[in-house]
Amino acid sequence: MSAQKRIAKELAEVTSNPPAGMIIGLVDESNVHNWDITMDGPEGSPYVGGKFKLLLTLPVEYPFKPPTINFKTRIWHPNVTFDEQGSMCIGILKGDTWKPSSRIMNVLIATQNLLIEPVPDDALETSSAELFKNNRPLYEKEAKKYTAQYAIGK
Amino acid sequence: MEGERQVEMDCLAAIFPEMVTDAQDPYSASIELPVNPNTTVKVLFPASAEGSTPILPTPPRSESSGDNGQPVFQPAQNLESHNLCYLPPLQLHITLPEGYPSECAPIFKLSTTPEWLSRSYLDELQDTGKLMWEEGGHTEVVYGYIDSLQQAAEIAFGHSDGKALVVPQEFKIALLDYDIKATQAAFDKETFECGVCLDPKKGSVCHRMIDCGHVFCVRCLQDFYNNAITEGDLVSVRCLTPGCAKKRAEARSEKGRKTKSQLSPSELLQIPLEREMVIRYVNLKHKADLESDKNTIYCPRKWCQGAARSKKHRKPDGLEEVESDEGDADSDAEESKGKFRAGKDLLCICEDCSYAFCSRCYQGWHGEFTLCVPMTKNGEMTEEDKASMEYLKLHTTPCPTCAAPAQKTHGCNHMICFKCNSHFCYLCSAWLEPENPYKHYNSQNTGCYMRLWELEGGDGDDIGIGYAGGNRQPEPEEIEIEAEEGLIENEVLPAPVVTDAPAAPPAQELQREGPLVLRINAPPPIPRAAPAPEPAAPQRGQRRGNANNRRANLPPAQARQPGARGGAVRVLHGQQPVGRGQVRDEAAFQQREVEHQEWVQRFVRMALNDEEDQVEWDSDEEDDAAAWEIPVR
Repeated sequence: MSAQKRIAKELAEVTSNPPAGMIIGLVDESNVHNWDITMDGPEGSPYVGGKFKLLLTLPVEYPFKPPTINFKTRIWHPNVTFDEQGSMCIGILKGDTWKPSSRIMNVLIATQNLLIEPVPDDALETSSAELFKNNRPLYEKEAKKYTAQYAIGK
Repeated sequence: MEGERQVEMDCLAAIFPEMVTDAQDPYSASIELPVNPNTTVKVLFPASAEGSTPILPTPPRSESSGDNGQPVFQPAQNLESHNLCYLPPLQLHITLPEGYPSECAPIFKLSTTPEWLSRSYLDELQDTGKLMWEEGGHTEVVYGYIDSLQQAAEIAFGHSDGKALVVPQEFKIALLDYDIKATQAAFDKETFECGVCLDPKKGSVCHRMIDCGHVFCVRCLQDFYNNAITEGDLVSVRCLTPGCAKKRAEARSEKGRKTKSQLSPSELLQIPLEREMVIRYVNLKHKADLESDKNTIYCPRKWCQGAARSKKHRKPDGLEEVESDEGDADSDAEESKGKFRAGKDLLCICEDCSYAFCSRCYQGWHGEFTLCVPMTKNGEMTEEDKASMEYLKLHTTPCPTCAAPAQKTHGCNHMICFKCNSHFCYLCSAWLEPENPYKHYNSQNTGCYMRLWELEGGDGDDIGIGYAGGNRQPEPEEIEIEAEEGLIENEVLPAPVVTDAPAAPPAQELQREGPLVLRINAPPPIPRAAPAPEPAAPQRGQRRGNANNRRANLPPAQARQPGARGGAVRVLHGQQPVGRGQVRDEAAFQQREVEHQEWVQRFVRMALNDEEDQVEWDSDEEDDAAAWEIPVR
């Protein structure tokens, strides 16, 4: 029960004062564990202009266990799997870094930052990570291409 | 006059509601003034009980050392120092006598419980009150006086500025206790937002982390830690603030200290967690420590699998937490690894089932002197060790006293152990009387009758290699001094005829490894025509295979011996009365023991003075004697 209460609080916090470029709501009003997030591709990244739908899932054990984030909109990014799952790998959500007093607000901001600054050493997609490291112009071109293909005007 | 006194008392009671007016005297009252200085006060408790030490102004110290309530040791001065936030209150008793304020001074009495402020200082403070009354022109002075006391308390009566307060040791507990209670009381009144449930909570239902000071509500901590301990997720038993443990780890590694981010069992109990849960935590942690230590030795009993008792990771007994001191122990273990260790280091005792076993061969404890070889984890020897063990079984005889295996390279069967100087028979391991070792071979019922020269050429397949035969003169310069105290033979009787052999054929690994060397001082060898053939060779397998009575079953071997040596043996026989060789002569044995011990003591004494080379080796044959090494694995 305390989990529900905390989630409700955090939801109130982020909906009343959402991070720039994000719209946050529940997938289903009766279930606070699944959040629906629409994130604008941040300025300064090849994803700018795109609108990315994310699913934030809070486990039953939340906040003792970290939430998970999936990109419902396909995104070509070193730290997000380029498939239907759109699984994301981010430090704050790893079991050993997550602390019960970590906040969803921070998770969302970290996600946004990840789009601006990928972490190629911790990559899920090696091809984009390679390009990011070794051929930045090509990486940007590819990312823009896929953003246009999946995240703009959909 | 009455009115003035009454007005002042009423006034004070309004300002200080905690003031208590005496039941008997309406013009007397007492008030407790809390001593809660603005900054922490460094309090020193001299280790020796020199009675009540007056407050001594001591030079300021660096403020950086130690947090609130943490002991800071001052080894140079042998003083214990604590930084306290709260000190026991100052009690003030006020009496307004008749004639106050115009004629009589107010009477102030100050005290503290315990007396952490010295009487003389309190007297001084009391006098200040009187002085104020006089200087104020005999008017109402009580409020002003209380106010001045409160101001003095705020700077801890002049001890807030790093100037340490010295308090007798006997009040230490009371003062620390007061500080803890007052701190807790203040904490309980505060309100905190728990970072987990995000609710504001009163301090009384919160816990402040001892190491980092972060505050969470007790319920969230209980939920989280109980869950983590139940799941065996020990690493999570740390502060719940993101990055907190990491930050502290970095700070500590800068200081060169080891990180300890996990909570201590005592803190878990303070939160509080259930005792059973904390015990589980301690046990799991102990197990994890053992598992992460590659030097841990486990009990060979299949049903037990406990770890051997170790100083490094002591088994927790209830909740007593044992801090392991890893750094040093690790290097020790590295050092002793692979080296030949004294038998004592081999003894392991299982912390669970108390089984005593050998850490090398994983068999039940066999004493320090039994030779054993390492077993692999699954209880098997390596091929190399197996071969060595086989060889030892086949070609050595253990000393009956200390079990050190000896391999004979040549000569007669009268052996003297290099380790313990026991005289024994190479064939049957029987003790021999040092005075008359040959009796054993001259008695018909010993099983070794007339077998002194059996295996004369040495025991083992490797013995012949590099064995130059009987023609070479002894080369004393080749003697290696490996165990000096083990090499004396006091025999007057002509020792068996032996021939020279190079100490260790270089090709043989076994000999290089061998810690055991047996040497016999012997008279010059009688030149012989040819190296002795190996007369017993065809029977070796049988001899060794037959266990104990194998030697007894053999026919007397003298028949095979060349005539010359046969003669020598006969001479020996002639000099020795035939006796019951197999029966150990206790008296003689003890006599020998005493002699030996005396000699060793003498040797050690001289060795301590670096004069061991002056020891009388008590042999006139020293110059021409050949000393033999019989290297054995």
